[in-house]
Amino acid sequence: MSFMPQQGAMGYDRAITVFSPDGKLYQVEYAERAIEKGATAISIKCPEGIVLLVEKRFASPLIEPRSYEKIFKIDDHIGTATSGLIGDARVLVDKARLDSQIYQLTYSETISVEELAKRIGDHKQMYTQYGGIRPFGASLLIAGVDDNGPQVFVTHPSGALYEYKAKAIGQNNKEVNDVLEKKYGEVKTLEDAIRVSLEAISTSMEEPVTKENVEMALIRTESRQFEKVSDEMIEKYIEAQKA
Amino acid sequence: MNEVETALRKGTTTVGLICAESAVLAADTRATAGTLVASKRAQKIFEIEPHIGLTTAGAVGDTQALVSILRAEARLYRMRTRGPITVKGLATLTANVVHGQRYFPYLVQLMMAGTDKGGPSLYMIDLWGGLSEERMASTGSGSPVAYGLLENRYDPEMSQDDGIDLAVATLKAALERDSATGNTIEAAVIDKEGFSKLEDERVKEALDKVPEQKY
Repeated sequence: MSFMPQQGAMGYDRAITVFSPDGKLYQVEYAERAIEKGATAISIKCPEGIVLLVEKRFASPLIEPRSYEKIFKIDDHIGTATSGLIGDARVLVDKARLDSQIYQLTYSETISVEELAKRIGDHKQMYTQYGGIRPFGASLLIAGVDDNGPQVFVTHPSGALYEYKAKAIGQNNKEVNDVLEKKYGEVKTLEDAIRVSLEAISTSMEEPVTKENVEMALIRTESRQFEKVSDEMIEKYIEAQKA
Repeated sequence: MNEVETALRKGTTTVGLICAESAVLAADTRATAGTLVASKRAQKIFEIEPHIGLTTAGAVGDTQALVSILRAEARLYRMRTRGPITVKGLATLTANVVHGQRYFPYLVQLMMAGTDKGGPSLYMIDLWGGLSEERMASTGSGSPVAYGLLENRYDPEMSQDDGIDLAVATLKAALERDSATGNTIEAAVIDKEGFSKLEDERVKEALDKVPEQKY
């Protein structure tokens, strides 16, 4: 066991505020690795609304399923699916919920999806520039409906922010995103989006998709209300997808 | 706190009203320091955003500082969200800024008017951070006089031209009966095209319509 720096990184991964000579922040890149180890999370938008879907991976059969949560409500019109370190994700979710209420109190208006995503991005960026702290090892798929219609944003540990029509994060995200890229053209209705999301997530899962091993939420454009999908409905969607 | 409230009653009359499709603001231009007329050409109507106007009454330094803050906040909001702030949004923010100075309050009484996707709207903000939406309102020492006329003649469906005439006539009454209100009258409208200050000729035209006094 040696604490001598490895060839290549040369100690530039020890303090996050230090750039390596080739312009990298290694801790930020390692945080990205942590997210790629996390369970897959998918979001797809269409004119009718947005679907959020995550894989549930139970470390033990004795875990109470209701305690396993990776899709969170941020505000009535915004929800998020997370991948990476769940502890980090929950801190970011708390921050997002707080930011949403602060905005409401400041302007008497609901926060836009983009503004909320930016505030989370700003928060994450801060953790790449100060000493003694580490970046968040979690990515958030921030989905919501506002005056600009349905939108999906992804925030990275660096603070970078992108808007997507459909996006997968976490384990096997390359394969899952390939499926999304191929199938997005088929997505016309929310039913289509649900079907494609189930199809896409199954490519990264060892077991077949069941109501026990995925979590789903919807935000419909018409109602602008975040809603968790019940196990019974998930089962119906899985059946429909098989047919 | 009594001195704070009496400090506000020392001068100025402003009037704001909502017409069918626009908002009208009017104010006198007298600034007083005790019995001295400190300025005959004080600005009391400010453009905060192209679609939002503000009238100010109270301590001049405080109102000017607030105007600067609000202009900056509105511009920042526009850049961050890629769109203009709503009138209600900026009025809420203003109330929060004022309320944040609870122990050393901004000695101001404000009226904010503008047009956005919801049409024209008007808000009153007091020095404690109180916020209320109104169809017509008046602030300053001349407001009791102004309300007399507004209560009698205001109609929310009135045309913009009628609204301007009423606002100017109301100011004229306050000029006559409140010694801390005087000199000239300024007015502005905020319609679909945005904020525009009225030409002196238009104000004079409205003044000419005020019936001549018989005694």
